[in-house]
Amino acid sequence: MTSSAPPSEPILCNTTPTRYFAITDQIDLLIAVCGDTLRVPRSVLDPDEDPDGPADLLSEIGASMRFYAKRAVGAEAIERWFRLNDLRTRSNISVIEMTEQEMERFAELQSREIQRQFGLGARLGRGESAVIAIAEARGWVAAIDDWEAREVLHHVSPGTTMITSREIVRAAVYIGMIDTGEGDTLYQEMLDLGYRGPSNLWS
Amino acid sequence: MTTRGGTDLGERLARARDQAGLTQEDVAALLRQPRPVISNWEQGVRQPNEHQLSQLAAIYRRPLEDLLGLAEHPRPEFEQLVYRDAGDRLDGPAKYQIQRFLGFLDDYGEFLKALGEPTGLSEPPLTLRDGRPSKDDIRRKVDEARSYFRLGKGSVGDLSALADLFGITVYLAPLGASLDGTISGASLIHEEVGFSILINGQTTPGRRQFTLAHELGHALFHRTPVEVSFPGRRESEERFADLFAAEFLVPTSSLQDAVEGMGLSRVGDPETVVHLQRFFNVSYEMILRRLRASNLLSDIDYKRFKEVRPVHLAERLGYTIDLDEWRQDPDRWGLARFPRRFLRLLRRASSEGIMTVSGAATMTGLAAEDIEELLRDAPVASNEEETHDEFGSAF
Repeated sequence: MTSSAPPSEPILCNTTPTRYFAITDQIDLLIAVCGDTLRVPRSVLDPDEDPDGPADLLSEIGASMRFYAKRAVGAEAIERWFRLNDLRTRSNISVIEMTEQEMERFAELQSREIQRQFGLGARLGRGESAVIAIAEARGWVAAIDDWEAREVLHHVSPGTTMITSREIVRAAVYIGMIDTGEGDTLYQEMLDLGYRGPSNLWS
Repeated sequence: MTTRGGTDLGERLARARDQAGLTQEDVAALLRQPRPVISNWEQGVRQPNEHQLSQLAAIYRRPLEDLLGLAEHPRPEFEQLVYRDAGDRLDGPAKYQIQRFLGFLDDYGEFLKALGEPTGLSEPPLTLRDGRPSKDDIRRKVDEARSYFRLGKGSVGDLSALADLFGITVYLAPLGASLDGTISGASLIHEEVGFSILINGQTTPGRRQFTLAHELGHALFHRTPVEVSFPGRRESEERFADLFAAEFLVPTSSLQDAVEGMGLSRVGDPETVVHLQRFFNVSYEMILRRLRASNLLSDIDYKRFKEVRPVHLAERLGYTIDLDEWRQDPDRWGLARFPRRFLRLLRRASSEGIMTVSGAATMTGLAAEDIEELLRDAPVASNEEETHDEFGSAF
């Protein structure tokens, strides 16, 4: 752990932090830590897409919404669907459009060659590839949890700063937006929902 | 957008669409866009955004690099063989599902290599002589097949699980509910995965079981690289596979034994037909035909019992009805469409730190939540914990 202040560079969020903070009803916390604007690539969230289209052609948040609409069980599923749907109309969420060069990098990162080069079990996802391509080009911070994507980013762009959803929760405590107990509770809730990370927020 | 070679993005999109066998209308329907949008992209009037390009790459099963002109990967011929064999029975959405199936096999093959796992069944293990088989020939071949699968004479149970145990990959896809206008299944031998079967999951459970048995007939006896199944095919290999499937699922001798075991010499009521259907795990229609073919049901009763609503009758008889029997909503399938071995390997790979949630979601085209459900209670790999602090932090 280093400084308690958030970085000055914009933070570009992948699907995992966006999704977890949304379904735990803490999206405003994420937006506040990110400097009052949540920046995401269109592969993560596409407010213009038809949410009733083929599931595998949706953005990653769109795919999550389809899960809660069709496959999840329990009353919480409906609540989570609404929280994710709410992201589509928020004015403090900015969908970042790629430049041509970023698009080419985005394509390269999803290639079979990169998969083999790094010994990955599968090709990098669209969200991770988009975050890496944009953050690398613009000198932004990449909010990524997927360890394979973090490993690739560390090797292809060592100068690009990364953070995880867990670190965002810790930062929120440091900054004073929430207290330690609230941070512990939030992180435990994320773990209970399936977040794959250390079992403790602090060690 | 233009990239290397001076070839316009629009031209590459048009060529990729053509190679995938799709019309602009097909693509527009999949993307929920008006057709002129697709036309404008291909003519270079407008450009798709990042997400739309990813969608097109998925639909055309082309690496995004290829669409942008950064690379050129050879296109395998399987889909052309499937389209040719299917004739004009595949509409745009079905062709897209074929692309998804083929793309999944490619990813699965890489995944198997990454894990050091062997390819599945790649050569037919049993032989069949040329010529039109007699009923006795079919029975002998079914006996060989049941022996190969270490089955007795009774119900085959979960045929998909059985296929999985013997290295045959089974995958479900929504190819359309009306068999008049689509296919019930297909099979091919993938270089890295082995014998792979595609089943139309929007058909009834009984039809799916029959299609699977039919494709297993091809897997066990035929060397053709691609087979497509739909009702009415008369080619010799298709006829064999149909006869094989019927006898494999409901062996004549087993059916006779089951009827005798119920204290009957013939079947005289639809309730008994439903019980036999449930015992053999096949469709009501199939059991009716097998009973008639075995002279265990009169022609008059056959016609009469065809008018029965079997699912309603089964429910009244106390059988648990799977909602799947009433409707086939692909959005509810989740991971159920994927091969069982693949799902086992996903869990293992995740625990060993070889596959992430995101990687698995990418491979399956599902939500991360689907993968998290699969991995619930699976241990978190050590590298998932370590890299949280390993690569430095913004805070």
